[in-house]
Order: sequence, then structure tokens, then C-alpha cells
Amino acid sequence: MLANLLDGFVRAMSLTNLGFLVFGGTLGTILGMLPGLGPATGVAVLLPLTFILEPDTAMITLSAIYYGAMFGGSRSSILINTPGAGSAIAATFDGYPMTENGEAESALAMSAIASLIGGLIAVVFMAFLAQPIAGFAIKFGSAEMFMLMLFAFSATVSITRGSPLKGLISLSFGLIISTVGQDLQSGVVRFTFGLTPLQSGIDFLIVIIGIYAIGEVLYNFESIHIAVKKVQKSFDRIWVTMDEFKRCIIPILRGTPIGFIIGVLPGSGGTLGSLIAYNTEKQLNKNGDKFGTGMIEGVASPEAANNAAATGALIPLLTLGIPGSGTTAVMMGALMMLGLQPGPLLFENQSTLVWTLIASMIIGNIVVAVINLPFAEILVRVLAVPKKILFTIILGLGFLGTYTFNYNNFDLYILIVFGVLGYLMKKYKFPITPLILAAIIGGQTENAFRRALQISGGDFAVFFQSSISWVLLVLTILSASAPFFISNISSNNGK
Amino acid sequence: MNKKVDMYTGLVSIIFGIFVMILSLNLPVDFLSGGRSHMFLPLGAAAVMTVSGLIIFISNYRKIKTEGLPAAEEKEESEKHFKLIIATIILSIFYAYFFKKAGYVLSTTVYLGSVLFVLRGTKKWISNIVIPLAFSYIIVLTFGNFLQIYLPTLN
Repeated sequence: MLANLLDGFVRAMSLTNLGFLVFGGTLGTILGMLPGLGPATGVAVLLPLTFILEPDTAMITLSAIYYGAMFGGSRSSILINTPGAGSAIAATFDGYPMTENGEAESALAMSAIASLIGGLIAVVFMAFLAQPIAGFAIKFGSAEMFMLMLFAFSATVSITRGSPLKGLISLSFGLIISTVGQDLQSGVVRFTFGLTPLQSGIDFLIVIIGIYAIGEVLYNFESIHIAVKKVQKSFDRIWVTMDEFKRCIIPILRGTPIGFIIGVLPGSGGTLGSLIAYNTEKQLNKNGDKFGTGMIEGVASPEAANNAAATGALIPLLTLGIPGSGTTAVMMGALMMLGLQPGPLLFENQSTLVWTLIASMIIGNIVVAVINLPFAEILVRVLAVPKKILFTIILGLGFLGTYTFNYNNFDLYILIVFGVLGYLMKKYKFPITPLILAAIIGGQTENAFRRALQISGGDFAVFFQSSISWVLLVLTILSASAPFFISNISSNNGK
Repeated sequence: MNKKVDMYTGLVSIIFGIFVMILSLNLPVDFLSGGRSHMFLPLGAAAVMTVSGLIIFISNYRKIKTEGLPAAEEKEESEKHFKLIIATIILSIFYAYFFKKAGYVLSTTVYLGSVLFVLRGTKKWISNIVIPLAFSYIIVLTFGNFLQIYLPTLN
């Protein structure tokens, strides 16, 4: 492992990779800062930029955008009480009160430091865990792969916030999308309604851009006339005192594993991780009763968890081929576009790329922290860019990105359809991640299901023959029933 | 969330689910094996969608029956945003239609400019024209010179 990691460091530190890492990290920080644009949207609209890059450089750039956005998301939480990304919501609880108390510098610095420590520890966890998980998953046959995907679907639906029933509808719709076009196994054309361009299926990258970029912009139009809070633009030195650091180190170390574990679970992402870390810290910290009034520990713990979750979410993506969050779903799309198949074989066939990516994340976390500390004063000026101009440009980038995938005009119409769908889903509180996950891995799920049945001669018992399948089945049932248990417990507590 | 809206989303899911189920059941059989395995996934997904929609519909219908409907929301503001969204969608359809025909620079400038006029009004007309023009030229130059990706030109 160490030799692989060292080799990864050498490759990651090439001039090209370092350059794109800084570029991605800066761009991610800026995109993360802008309210309404999460990392998924950022990665989605910037995908075309990676077309001409080598796969390792492309992945380094995209992951730098990803954790750059995680760093940047809290800037707007702290300064204008509006999270740049959903996962930065916990930073508003104590971050904004700190700004109101005249302590914005400490809050900004601590959020960057906590993100850095959380991110670095999580990368170390990842380096140790990823290969054993991939090694174990390589033993999976078609039946086990199908059960694993079933578990991923179930976990995604139950963990994503909102109604699980709406999550199921979203998931089902994603699965239906994945079946559009000619079925390669049987040759049967499904749900194309006579439209020839649909015969090759709906490109999930267009689904992603439509829902995340266009849908997000249309949804933001609902609040476009709301006046934006004035942003503090001049700061004293953005740093923390030794006393503040001492107070925060334990909360950071508590928040990191929470975020990491939650990040690994499919569908959960940084939002849940940072919220649980904040609540845990509130209960365990001796100043917990003062949380919400501007306690620096209330910024440190969720920020560490947030970045740890972002790294954790890459584990199921790289080792099992199952994205752990909306953004990693977009990144999975990018990997597939680059001709790489995420999953257990990635570590065998593309081990150099994987270890270069892991090494780049260590360097990248440090680079992005550096960007976020001394340059914070310059970067936060982006928050002053009028939303109306910004969203118009995002629309332009969304169309541009879609056209450059296949140079096909018809894709632009598909983009508009999914943009409207994304808007309606957000408006009516349908979770988006299940749809994206299903649209991406729906085809693989169907193939695994049919291959297992072919091998068994049509006997459904094939799905219950190995112990791995049974464990996955139990996990699927547990995760599927979790939301109902939780809602029962909360309603009983409420009585 | 509004119970009435939730009830309708449940209804839409039921209708869409049944529609896909019918389409799935009418898919032709596999030419080679005569099998029907290609209809399992869409059929299963549509069934799940229908059942979920049905539960949402019934539960919200019951809630409306017992609790009644909440007071009307601020209609004027939401109508204003609705018009904005509809205008953007219509402009996007025109943009998709003219993208290749009019070339990237012209179609993008007109599209983004129109969106800006819809969003910001006519007072800032200079920047409403300059921003889209600069955007499309920068993109064409960047993509053509650095990424070797050539965008449609006016024929």
C-alpha cells in the first residue's frame, strides 16, 4: 500500500496534475460558496473541461472541485447565513452568530482548519479501507452484485431526507430512465416512442446536468427577487488563537469519524454527516448549552465531518461502483465517460489512477486549505456577483456541456425535459439522489439480475444461495424499514 | 408541503406508473430466446411507483378529509416566479431549436440576453447585451483554441 501511495504522490505532483488541482480546488471553492449551487452542480457543469485531460488529471480536477466546494460551502454559511451547499448548513448554526459577534475571521479560519484535518484523516482511513473492500467485493458474482445494488437503492431511499415514498418514486423513475433505448441483450427497443435518437438510450450525464444545473437554476428563480444580505468584505487576519484551536481539536476528532462513516453509506452525503456531528458535539461538549450563540466548537465539528463525509462517499464509488452521494454519482458518470468502470476491478486494472487520486486528495486538502485561508478575503467577493447574472451563465454552461457530449441537438431537448423535471422534484420535495443513482446503475443492476438468472437457468433461488447475499438482504430489509421505525419512535416521543 | 399538491403528485405517479406497466407488458418478446426478462425491471419499477403513489394519494386524501385544507398561500409572488420559469423554459426550447441553425455565438447571445432581460428588465440593457456576447465569444475561443472542441457556426 505504502509503495502504491508513494508512487501516487509522485504522479500527483507532476506539474500538470498540480496545476489542475489548484485550478479545480479554486473553482470548487468559488462554486461551493455560491448559494444554490452545490458541488454536484459544479462538477456537472464543469465536466466538459475534463474532456481533453488524461483520466488521472481529469479525476484529480473533479475531486478537487468536489472537496473545494466542501471547503467553500461554509464561507457563505458563516458570512451571510446561507449555506453554499446543503452540507454546509450546520456551519450556519454557530458560524453566522460568530460573524454577528465580530468573530468572522476565527469562524472562517476554523472552518478551513477543521475541514483540512477532517479531510486528511478521512483520506488516511480511505487509503487503509479501500483496497480491502475492493478485494472482498471482487468475489461477488452477479447475484451478489444485484443484491448489493438493491441494498444501495434501499439505503439511498431511506437515508435521503424527505418522504421515503417520494424517494421510492424518484428511484423507480430513475430505473425506468435507465431502460430507455435498445436493450443490448434482447435487441428489443424500449420506450423510445419512435424517436430514433432515443434508441441509444438517455445519457445519464444529460440527466445529471438537467436535474442539477438547469433544475437548480429554475428552482432558484423562485427566490431570485429576495435581497441578498450584505457580505463582510474586509477582515483582520483570518486565523485562530491557540486557545481556540485547543478547544476545537477534540470536536474535530469526534466529528471526523462520524462524518466518514455516514459518508460511506450510500445516499447520505455530507449534510447528514455534518448535522449528526453537530448534534453529537452539542451533547458532549461542556459548552453544548451555548451552541447556537457563536461557539467555535459548533463550527469545527460539523466542518470536519462534512469533509470526512465527502471523502468517505468516494469509497463505495471506487470500490463497489456505487456512488455514496449526489456528487459522487456525477463523478461516477465522469469516470464512465473517461472509459473507466468504477468498482472492485478498478483497483486491479487502474491501481495507478486510484492511488494517484488518493495521493492527490492529501495534497489537495492542503492546497484548498491554503486557498481558503489567506485568499478568503478575495474569494468571498464572489458572493457579491448578482445571482441573476450567475444563474444565466449556469444555464449557458449547462447547454454547452450537454452539446459537447455527443454534438447532438436532440440532447438539448432532453436537457430541458430533465431541467423541468429537476425543478418540479425540488419544488415538490422529491429527493434527487435516488433518481440519479438509479439512472446511472440501473443498467448494471438489470444486467446483474439477468446474468444471475441465466446462470441459474431461471431459478430465483440463486439470489439467496450465498451468505453474502443473505447479509445484503438483511441489510436491505433493515435500511428499508429504518425510516418507518424512526418516524414511529419520534411520534411516540412527541406524545 | 401542501397536502393537496402531495395528493396530486401521488396521482401523477399512479398514472405514470400504470402507463409504464402497460408499455412494459406490451414490449415484444426476445427475438432469439423468446424470453421476457427485458420487461422485469421497468415493470417492477413502475409497480413500485404506482404503489408508492397510491399510498401518498390515499394518505393525503384522508388528511384533507379530516384536517381540511390550509389557508391559501401568497399567490401573487408565486405567479410572478411561475411566469419567469415558464419564460425561461420557452426561451430554452427556442435556443435548442436555433443552436445549430443560427450558430453558437448568435443563438447563445440571444438566448442568454433574453433570459437576462426577463430577469433584470430593460434598465440594465447594456450589460444584458455585453455579458452574453462576452460569454459566448470567450467560450468559442476557449473551446476552439484550448480544448479543440468546435461549436456550431452560422451557415
